[in-house]
Amino acid sequence: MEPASEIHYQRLTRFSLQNTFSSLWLGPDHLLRTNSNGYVETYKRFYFRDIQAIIVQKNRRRAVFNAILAFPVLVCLFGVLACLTYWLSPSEVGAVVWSIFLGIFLLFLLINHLLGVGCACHIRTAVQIERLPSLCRVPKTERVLDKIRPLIAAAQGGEMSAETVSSRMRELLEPAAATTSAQTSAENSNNPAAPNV
Amino acid sequence: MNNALIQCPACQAWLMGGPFNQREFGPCPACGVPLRGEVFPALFRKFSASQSGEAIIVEGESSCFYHPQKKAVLPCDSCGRFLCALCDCQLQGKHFCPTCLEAGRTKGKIKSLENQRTLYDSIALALAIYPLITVLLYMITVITAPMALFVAIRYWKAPLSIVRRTRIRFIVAILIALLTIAGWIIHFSI
Repeated sequence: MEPASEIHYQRLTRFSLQNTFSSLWLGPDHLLRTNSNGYVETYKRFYFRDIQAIIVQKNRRRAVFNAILAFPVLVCLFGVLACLTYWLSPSEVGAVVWSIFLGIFLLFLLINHLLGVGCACHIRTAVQIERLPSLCRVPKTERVLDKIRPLIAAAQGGEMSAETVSSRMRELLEPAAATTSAQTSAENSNNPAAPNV
Repeated sequence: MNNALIQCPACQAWLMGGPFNQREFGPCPACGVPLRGEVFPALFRKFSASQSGEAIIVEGESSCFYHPQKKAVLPCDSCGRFLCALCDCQLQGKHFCPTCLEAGRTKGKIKSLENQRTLYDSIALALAIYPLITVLLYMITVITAPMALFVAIRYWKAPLSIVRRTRIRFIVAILIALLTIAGWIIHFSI
C-alpha cells in the first residue's frame, strides 16, 4: 500500500464548544469536520460531489447568551453604584474592582452581540444529515457558504437557481402524488362501501 | 430518506418548496422557524444499481480471488489480486480489494479513510502542566513529569492531528517536565 500523502487543509471556522470542540476545514475536494475532546480527534469528511443541501436555521443563541451575560453586568453595575454612592461600603478601591469586572462582562456581551444572530447549520448527503456545530452564527455561516458554494457547484456541474430547485422538486413530487391518487381510487373502486372523498 | 425532499431541522416537516438558494431566510411552513437552504444538483441525482460481477462462461478465464465463479475485471492496486466488479472498491482513482481497503483504514495508510487520531502531544502537555496549575496536586508531578517526558519521547514520531499542527506541544511538555524533574531532584538532594 502506498504511503499516505499529506492533505493540506484550510481553516474555515475556529473551535466552537458544543459537547466537544468542533471545527471545520476545507480540503481539496471535501469539507472536514473535526471533533475533539482535547486528547482524541475524530474526523468526518463531506465530499463536494456528495453534498445535497446545506440548511441554515436561525435560533436564539445570541439572545440567550445576552441574557446570561446581562445578569453579571447588572450585578457589577450595582456594585459600582453602591461603592460610588456610599450605600454599603464607601470605597474607591471597591468601585475600581467592580468596574474592572463590569468592563470584562460588558466586553463579552459586546462580542456576543457583534458575532451576530445564532443559527444551526446542517449538511445533507444521500445517507446522512449532520450538524456542523462550528457554524453557529449567521454572518460566519454566510462567509463559509460563500466560500464553499462555488466549489460544491463546480464538483456537481453548476449552481441551481431557486426556480430550478422548486420546479425539479415539483417534477419529482407529481408522479408520486399521481401514483398515490391512483392507488386510492383503485382501493375505492374495489370497496364500494368506502366513502367517496 | 426521501431523495427529493428536505426536512426542517427543527420540526422535521417536509419542505416542499421554500427558501432554497435564496439569500434571505424564510419561515418553515410548519413551525415558523426562519431558515434557508442551499440545494445542489446531487439532491436530484439518481442512483445507479451496483454491479454484481459477471459469471465465468469460458473455462480458463481469470476469476475473482474472492468469488471464483465470477470473472475478474481488474487487479487490486495494492496487493495485485484479481477482482470482480463486485469486489472492486474504487477510491480516488485507485482500485482496492475489500481487505486492502480495511487494512488501509485500520492502519491509517489511506488518509482519506482515517477518522480518528490520538493527540499524544496534547496528552504529554496535559501531564506536564495540569498538576502544576492545580496547586493542590503539585505533589503528583513526581509521577506525572516523568510520564509526560516518556509520552513526548515515545510518541514523538506518531502522527499529529490531520489538520495543521506542529510539535510545539511536545517541546513545551519536554521542557516543563525536565524543569519539574530538576526541581524535585534539587528538593530531595537538599
